[in-house]
Amino acid sequence: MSVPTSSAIGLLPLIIVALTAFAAMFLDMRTHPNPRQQNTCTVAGLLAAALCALPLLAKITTQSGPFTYWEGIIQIDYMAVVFTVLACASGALALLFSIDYLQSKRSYPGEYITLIPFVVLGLSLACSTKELLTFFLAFELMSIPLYVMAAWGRFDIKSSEAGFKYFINGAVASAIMFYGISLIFGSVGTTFFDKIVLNFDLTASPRHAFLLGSLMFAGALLFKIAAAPFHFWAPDVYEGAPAPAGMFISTAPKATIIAFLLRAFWGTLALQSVEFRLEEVWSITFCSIAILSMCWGNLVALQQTNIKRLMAFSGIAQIGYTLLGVMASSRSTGIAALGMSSAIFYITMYSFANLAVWSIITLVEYQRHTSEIADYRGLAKTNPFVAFTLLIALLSLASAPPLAGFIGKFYLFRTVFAAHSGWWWVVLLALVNSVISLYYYFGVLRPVFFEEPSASRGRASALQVPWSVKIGLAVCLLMLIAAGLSPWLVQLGAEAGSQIISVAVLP
Amino acid sequence: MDFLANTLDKLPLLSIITFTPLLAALIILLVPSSYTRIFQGLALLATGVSLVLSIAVYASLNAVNAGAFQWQELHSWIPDLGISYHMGVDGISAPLVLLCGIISFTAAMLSLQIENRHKEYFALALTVMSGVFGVFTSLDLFLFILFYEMASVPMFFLVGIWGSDKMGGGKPIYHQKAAMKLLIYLQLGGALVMLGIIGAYVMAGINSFDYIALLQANISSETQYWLFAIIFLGFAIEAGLVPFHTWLPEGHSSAPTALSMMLAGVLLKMGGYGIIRVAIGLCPDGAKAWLPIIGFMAVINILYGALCALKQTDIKLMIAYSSVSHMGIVFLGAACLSEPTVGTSAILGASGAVFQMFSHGVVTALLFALAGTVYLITHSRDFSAWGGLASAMPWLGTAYVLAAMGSLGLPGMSGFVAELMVFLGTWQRSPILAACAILALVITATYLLRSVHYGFYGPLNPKYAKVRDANLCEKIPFAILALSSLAVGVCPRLITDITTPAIQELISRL
Repeated sequence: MSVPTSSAIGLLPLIIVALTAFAAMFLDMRTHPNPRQQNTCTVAGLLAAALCALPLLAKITTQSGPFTYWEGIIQIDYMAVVFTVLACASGALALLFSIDYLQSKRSYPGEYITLIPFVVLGLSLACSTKELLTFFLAFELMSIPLYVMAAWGRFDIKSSEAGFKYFINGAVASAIMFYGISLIFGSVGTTFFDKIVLNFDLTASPRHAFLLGSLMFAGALLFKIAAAPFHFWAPDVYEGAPAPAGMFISTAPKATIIAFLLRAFWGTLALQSVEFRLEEVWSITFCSIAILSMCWGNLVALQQTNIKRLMAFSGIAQIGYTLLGVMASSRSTGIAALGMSSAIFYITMYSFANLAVWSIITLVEYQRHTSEIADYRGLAKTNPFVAFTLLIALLSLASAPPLAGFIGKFYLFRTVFAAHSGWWWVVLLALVNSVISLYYYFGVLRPVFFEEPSASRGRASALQVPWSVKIGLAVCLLMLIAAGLSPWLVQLGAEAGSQIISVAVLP
Repeated sequence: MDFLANTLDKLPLLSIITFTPLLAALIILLVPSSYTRIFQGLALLATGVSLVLSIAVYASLNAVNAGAFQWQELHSWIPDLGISYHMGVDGISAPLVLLCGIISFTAAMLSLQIENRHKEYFALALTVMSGVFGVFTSLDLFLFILFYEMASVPMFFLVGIWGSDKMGGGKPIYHQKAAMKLLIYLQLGGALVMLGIIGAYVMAGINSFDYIALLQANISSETQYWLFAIIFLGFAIEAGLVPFHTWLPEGHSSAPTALSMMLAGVLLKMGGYGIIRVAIGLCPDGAKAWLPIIGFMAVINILYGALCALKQTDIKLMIAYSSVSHMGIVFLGAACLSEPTVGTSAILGASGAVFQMFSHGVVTALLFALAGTVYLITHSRDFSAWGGLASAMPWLGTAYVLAAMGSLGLPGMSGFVAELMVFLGTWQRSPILAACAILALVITATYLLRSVHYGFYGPLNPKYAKVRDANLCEKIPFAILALSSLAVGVCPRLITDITTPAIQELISRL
């Protein structure tokens, strides 16, 4: 067990996010709230948290070890920092992209702006913890605001329905997760990761309870990232929820939960004992879920005409690819660090590409009141920059070079191949899937680039793109292009993976 | 002169050749969209620079050094993944780099015909050009895939936006659908190649995607067997192997003129080059097992493509099917490597395959350039409806006859030498295959002469009495392409001198 560090500097990002959340809430409580001001303050707070987190990377090198607080309830390591920064950045970008949408609707903008920092707080906590109950707390802290966000457009019946569906399904998932945690606690007598490993061999409790508990735990996590067969809520929620909510639901929470999956299933829940080879159980479980997600997501996405539903299925498929990386990071393969790093890289790039696409969905939704793909026609003529961003983001999702998605997928497949070379057919399947996905990603680009803007119902006029959106899109573009060309993000991911391994307690 | 040569020696020429078009594309993105002349000028300038430098690189190679990689550039890029920036050419890739230079420049000249959305067009087309240069100059396999995709993805937009539909007799072909089909097929090919390369990387057990490093690694025969099959299939889709060729006629015939030239002239060659360099180069044991079957499939390709071409009256579709047929000759030549010990079969066959890639590149690009220009003038792609065009447009008529002769293998043109080499090589290995393949030459002559007869000879169709002939911007590329074909046809040593040592090097590893 690593020595608890006295310096509280590692907690600073979490504290800033928490303060930002409360500040946003109080700014909203004034007699004459100004949503735009509130938005600016919240974005500034989140960016400050991200900026405070980045210097931590230098302090938690492999030699000095991570900051650990309260025996591992919070552990600030590379993974935690990377995903805290990602959560803050996603939150800030989502706010930048949404403010004009929020102000154009009848619902109250302040609610959405307040909820985002709370979700970010939950996310930052979830990726920094090594204790199951704290994780559950963080999980709820992030889930409940997300339900409210889905139902934000309360004058729109579809949005209310989305919120309700999301809440009912999510509540069931939370309950299952909690039951899973209690089973794990019952069989090993602790909820701390390091102690789970130590206790596992000491206790004579039934192993099946532990396995069942971990399976339930994994099921709830897979529900949240919409991996098939736990994905049924996603298309309806994404379609019904206001675009800004869909944007946030589909990015940062997924990334964080992938991070936690890596942390929890590498070494902690994937234990080995004489009668149990849990590593294999998990490899096979994640592999089959990955395959199911890829195939289901891609095949159903082919039929969609609504871009929000399409992005839901695309997200299911993308999570499938990422889970291949999670699968490859099991310990028995000997390349766990690479597996983690490839999954981290991929999900990060997915988040930025998705944010860019959803920001454009948001723009179109409040200015043209539609999210049908056919209504995107002629966007290249009326808004070249928006069309270009959509092109780059979708190409990155479709893994065209030299964008981030391409190197991400290359890295991922390479790792899977190296981890289980007998499973080369999984890589083949994933590659065929990514070819299938071209059809619908380019199907969106087809009306955008091939067709003339239609003159009906004033849709030919150009979209108004506010400066805040332009800046946010430029950041996304920069990430997608730079990460594809320069190796620093790959190295960061590899560092995160190997640190988890170096500080973990081994049985 | 010495000073110039010394300066050139020090420059990273291959990188300059590869990235000049991309740089031009980036500049074009920053210029407002009304400056059409600037886009055209930049495209010509960039492709011109690449052409001149590729000639310089080609001229620097000779029989002594062409067996090894020249002009190498090696920089570290993503060391964690074993990826480096490694460029270099040898006697197999150098003719193709030169081909790329010729086709890019002539295609850029014919791109002046484009009438709308210039900015996007030139940005995308120049990206494709950078991609194809990169495929032939890169020695790191990751870089190779990257360029390969860079050359194929923008094709979707180029065909979809600026393409033309096939109407007239038979089933219509819509260019937007053709674009999607082309994209899916090319990417499926790319995906298989990627799987194969990742497989080779993992099985070799060294953390490197470097081609030269992978050549030295030991991959077991059984693994090679499967790797070869996967990589070959990937490239074969790109090179139009029957029955995976269906994207080719649709895509090539729907593309705008300059891009038809790029597709037929260079993109198909990426497949042929990949088979020789990556599939056979990395998996020699696998190659020996599969190549006899491939020889058989090649003959099917030659015959099937020719028979399909015979049925077409749409000029672009006919040329596209003739490409299927002629790529079969490349496969047939590569198949000669299956028996490296039988006489001069392997050397003749494989050098013939490289020769055929160059020859088919310039000749088919010329055919597409002519077809596109005539379409621009007459607004019809159906050559049976043209009638006697040679009297109204003598320049185009003469050039078309010349191109048709080059394509059907008239002695003195490049096609003849290539076919002769491949057939000689195949004859030593399997006379029956050679005989079947030679039969196709008769069909080839039939359909090409028929198109000349219907389209350009005979009484002039009164509808076209007052049409214009080719203008200067069209004559120059026609002349460059026709002269290239003539030059290597009259003096084949221009190519064989440098391909033979490289092929011998390849055979020594088999």
